[in-house]
Amino acid sequence: MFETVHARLMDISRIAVWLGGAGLLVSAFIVTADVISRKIFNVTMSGSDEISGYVFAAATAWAYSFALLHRSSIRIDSLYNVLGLKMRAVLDLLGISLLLYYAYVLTGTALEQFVYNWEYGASAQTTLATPLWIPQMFWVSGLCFFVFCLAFMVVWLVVCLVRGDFATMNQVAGVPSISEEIDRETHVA
Amino acid sequence: MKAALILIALLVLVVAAVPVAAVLGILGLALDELFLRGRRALMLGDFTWYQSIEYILVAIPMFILLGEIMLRAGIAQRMYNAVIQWLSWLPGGLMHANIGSCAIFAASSGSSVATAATVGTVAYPEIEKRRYNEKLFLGSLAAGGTLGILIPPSINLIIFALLTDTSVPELYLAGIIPGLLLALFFMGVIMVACLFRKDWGGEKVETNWSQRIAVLPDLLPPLLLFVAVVGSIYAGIATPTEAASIGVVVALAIAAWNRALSVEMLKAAFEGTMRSTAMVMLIILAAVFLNLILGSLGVTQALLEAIEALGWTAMQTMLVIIVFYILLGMFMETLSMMLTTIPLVFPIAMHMGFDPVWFGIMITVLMEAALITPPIGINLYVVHGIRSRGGRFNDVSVGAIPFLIAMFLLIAALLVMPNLALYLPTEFYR
Repeated sequence: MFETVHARLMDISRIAVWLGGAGLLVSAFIVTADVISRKIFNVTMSGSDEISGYVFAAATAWAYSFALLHRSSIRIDSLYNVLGLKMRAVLDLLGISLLLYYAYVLTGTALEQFVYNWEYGASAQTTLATPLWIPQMFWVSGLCFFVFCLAFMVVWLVVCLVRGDFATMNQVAGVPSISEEIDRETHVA
Repeated sequence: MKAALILIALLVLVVAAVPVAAVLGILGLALDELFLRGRRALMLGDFTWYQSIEYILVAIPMFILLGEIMLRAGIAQRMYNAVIQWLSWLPGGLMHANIGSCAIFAASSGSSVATAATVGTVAYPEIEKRRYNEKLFLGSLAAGGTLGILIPPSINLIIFALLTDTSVPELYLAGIIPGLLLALFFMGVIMVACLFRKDWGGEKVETNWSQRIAVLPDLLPPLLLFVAVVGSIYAGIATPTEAASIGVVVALAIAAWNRALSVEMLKAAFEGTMRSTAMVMLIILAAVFLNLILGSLGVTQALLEAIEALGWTAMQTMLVIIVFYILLGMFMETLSMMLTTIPLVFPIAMHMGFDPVWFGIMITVLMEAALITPPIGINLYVVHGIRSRGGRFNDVSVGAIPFLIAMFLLIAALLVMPNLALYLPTEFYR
């Protein structure tokens, strides 16, 4: 059951990451067009900086869960690597629980901010005067999904811990081994 | 007392392999609760939003995306072969091509891991083919890769700029001479080693001038990218973020030209980009929040007073900072190291009268050293990981030591001649 949910969450985060990446690529084109038109035609299309900032915030927020599910949190593993499977599993649970706490507080206050901006129709102090709730909606939803994924992982890890299934814990939440990490970093055919 | 408490809590959680972002974030929240009655935590969401849309930070995913596209654009092998034609006549042969290719790749990439991985994968098979000393060859790849963060564009320098409010263009300019100098030092190390031990230098690559001219077009893509990115910043056309965006467009064009562009390739590039961006940003956002708290608590001020009380000269203080980073670099990953220490160390360096841009370059060279000091050195892992024939991890660590000495030489040179870093920014901006 947990495996199925995990796989679905991965699917969702992967699609979100494709969209976010595509969004950044489009931003790159818009910003480039902005620079060219400014320098060559002396026409300023204001707002490309603001828009790419929004895209960046939303894309990154949605990518947190992708990084989490792919075990890509930055962790200092000097001690971790010399520990046994059981201790490592406990540290994996501890780490994800603490990350959940931080993300929960962050998302809670972000959500409040979003609701406030929505109710009062607050807009950005920029030439575009973007209503803040629009970009924040994409951002906050990404954070909420991240918290959901973290909570799911904590539940799963606790269940595994009770069952004594340390291997699964390490597989889904452990620090990736060197060779796994290299496979990701080297894409050259 | 406060400072000691912070340090102990930080250390315990970090050593327990808790994700660094969680350590920093929770530390910030805990200090806020303890000393500021939890007032700052209320604005965590708002604060994080404004950091998340910060335009200079958009340069980070753009540079990562640029690197991801270049990795898949099929230029690495041809670039390496071209550099071989030009540099392999030196004693040490292909190892000079390793350094040269890393330096060139570094000029289009902002990451040391990407640089080491890309050049390393292409170069590795040559060790057996041409009978090189494996340790030194691997060391040259690990060390060459570190040039990625010193030669502009560099992601680390953007993070330094963000933490210290220093100008990215000035930092980029300042990195050029030390970066090239370090590449020359690396080549010097190889040459000296291979003059003493001729058997380390491998078999000669036969080449001639017509071949050398013929491969020049293969060096064009990285050159084009360098001009588009770094050139547009100094021509005053673009900000660093805009330059990074232009770089992405150019990289895409290069990939398309090489017929390497496809939907699958883009999806993979997006996944790699967003994964790295999320890893980096989660820590950055938590670190900026922690800095806000530390600032409110007056920790920086207390630290400055404590340092002042020691009565050290500026040079003594800098030497202590350097030793501190070399020791820390043995155990910590560079990004976490920068984000946790620079907010505290930078004010000390400024108080002692050092130039902020110079200090940025010094820190970056120290981070490069951290990348290849065992037991924890990401570039050592990366290079070890590409060894399809396997071997002991120690081979890479030992092979990197001569290059570490070259880095210490550069650190000494920067101390004695700050102008190595400051000459270009002074000419352009001051």
